[in-house]
Amino acid sequence: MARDERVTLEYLEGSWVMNPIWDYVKKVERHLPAARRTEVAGALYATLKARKESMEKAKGAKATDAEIADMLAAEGDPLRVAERIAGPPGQHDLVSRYLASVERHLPREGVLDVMAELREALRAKIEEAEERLGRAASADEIAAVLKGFGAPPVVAARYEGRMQLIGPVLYPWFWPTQRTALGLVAAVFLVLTALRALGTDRPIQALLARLDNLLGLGLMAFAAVTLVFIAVERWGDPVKLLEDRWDPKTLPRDNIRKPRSLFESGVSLFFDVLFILVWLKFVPFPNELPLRDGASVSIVLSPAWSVVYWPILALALLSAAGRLHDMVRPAWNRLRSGISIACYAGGLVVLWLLFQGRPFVDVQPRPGTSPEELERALRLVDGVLLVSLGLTALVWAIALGLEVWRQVKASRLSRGAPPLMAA
Amino acid sequence: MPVSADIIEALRLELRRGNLILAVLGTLRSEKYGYTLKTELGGLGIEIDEGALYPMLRRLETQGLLTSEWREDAKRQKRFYRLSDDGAAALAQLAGEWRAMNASLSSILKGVGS
Repeated sequence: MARDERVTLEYLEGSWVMNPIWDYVKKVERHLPAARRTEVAGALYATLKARKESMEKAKGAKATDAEIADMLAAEGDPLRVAERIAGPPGQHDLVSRYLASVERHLPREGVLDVMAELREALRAKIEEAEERLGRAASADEIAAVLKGFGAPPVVAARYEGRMQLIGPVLYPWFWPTQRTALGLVAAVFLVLTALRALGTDRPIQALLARLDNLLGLGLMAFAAVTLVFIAVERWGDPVKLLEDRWDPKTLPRDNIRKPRSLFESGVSLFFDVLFILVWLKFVPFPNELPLRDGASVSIVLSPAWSVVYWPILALALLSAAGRLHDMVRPAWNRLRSGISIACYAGGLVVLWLLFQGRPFVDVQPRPGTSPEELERALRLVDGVLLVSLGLTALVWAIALGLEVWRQVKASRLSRGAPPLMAA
Repeated sequence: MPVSADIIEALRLELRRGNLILAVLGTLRSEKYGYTLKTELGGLGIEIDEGALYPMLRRLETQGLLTSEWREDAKRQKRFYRLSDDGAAALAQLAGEWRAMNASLSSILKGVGS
């Protein structure tokens, strides 16, 4: 549990003094699954706090440290408590995923208290549905209850209770989009300006002279993004659109993989697009390798690459599509994972083909270069590529294994989902 | 040109908003937790979504109009709300306003929609 949450709740309790109940909750929390940590820890805190208060009411005075310690000792070993209250994985899957989604949009202050109350409210609502049905609610019926409760960003925004120019559905995207847009503008500007500056006699001075344009471009990007958000908010009615379309069953599974941030996806997309532009020769790639004063060589890709030219382009496009998908739906899902698996597996095949066709590059002499220098340059560049592509293959193989494992884990969790119960 | 359903809905929500707060404050003169509050209001013909009710309760508590405490009830921890002293004073003032407004509106709207 983050320190600020603990401090907030101590503050809510009217005391800034370190609190033994918090220390205990923190110990239990360590044994809880990440996706349910805040929700369950919040509920446990509420339980223990209520127990302490009723003890104080009964005796008409503040509970002593010894009495609180006795109460916590009676609760039991933190590990056992965590196992008891968290339940087996998958049992409370949908409700937990809903609460975790609401939590992501809530302000940190008082978050545990809000989560505990929402959890109790959902439980009451699901029990009401089960009473009406005369049996345990199915996954579809629980999903219907959650849908009636409201989309997570909308529910969370109501806790903020202030009118916004950019509403609750779009607001979580606003600052990440601004950061991504500003990052992209800065990166494109710097790359293009650097390339232009390299063609001048004094590249550093040329680069510095053009830097002041960056501020104006940044402000324009900020204004453009803000206007787009306001326009969508004004004419798109995103709250209604989300309330109509959101499906509780598509709520993210945080326990499979941490959702990608918009910034992370934006940066990856930028590099994917840059690679595609270089690969299609829309953006020139400096390929001259200086050896000594007055002598250099040109590095060109060997014929081995022509075999994999189109597969590489297809994989880069697929990867960029995956990044775009991440920007729209940042949480882990099986489609995105499938794209990653295809990219890693395809990439490994491409690398294997390249390794078969070594050397990776050819070197072409420029005037003044001796055959020995040419040979040395070839060995150097080929060696560097051998090591870097070898390491890339290793990283991709591990990533491929991880992604396949996540798919297997998701299949198991889906199988475990039908006996959904109120949390 | 008939007024669109969206506009009617927006006006209806606006009309309800202030009244809901009054209804919640009035009902919490006796202590209740969220679910029983919603059920009681529903029984009196005032439907409110939980997604809106709980944030409203928290807001009213932050404003000092309500107090709350976590307590065990039917073997479960529930957060019970009740009107605070400041809330009772505010309710009395708002109820007066509402009655005056209601009397005026009844006179203005005589014969409308009946």
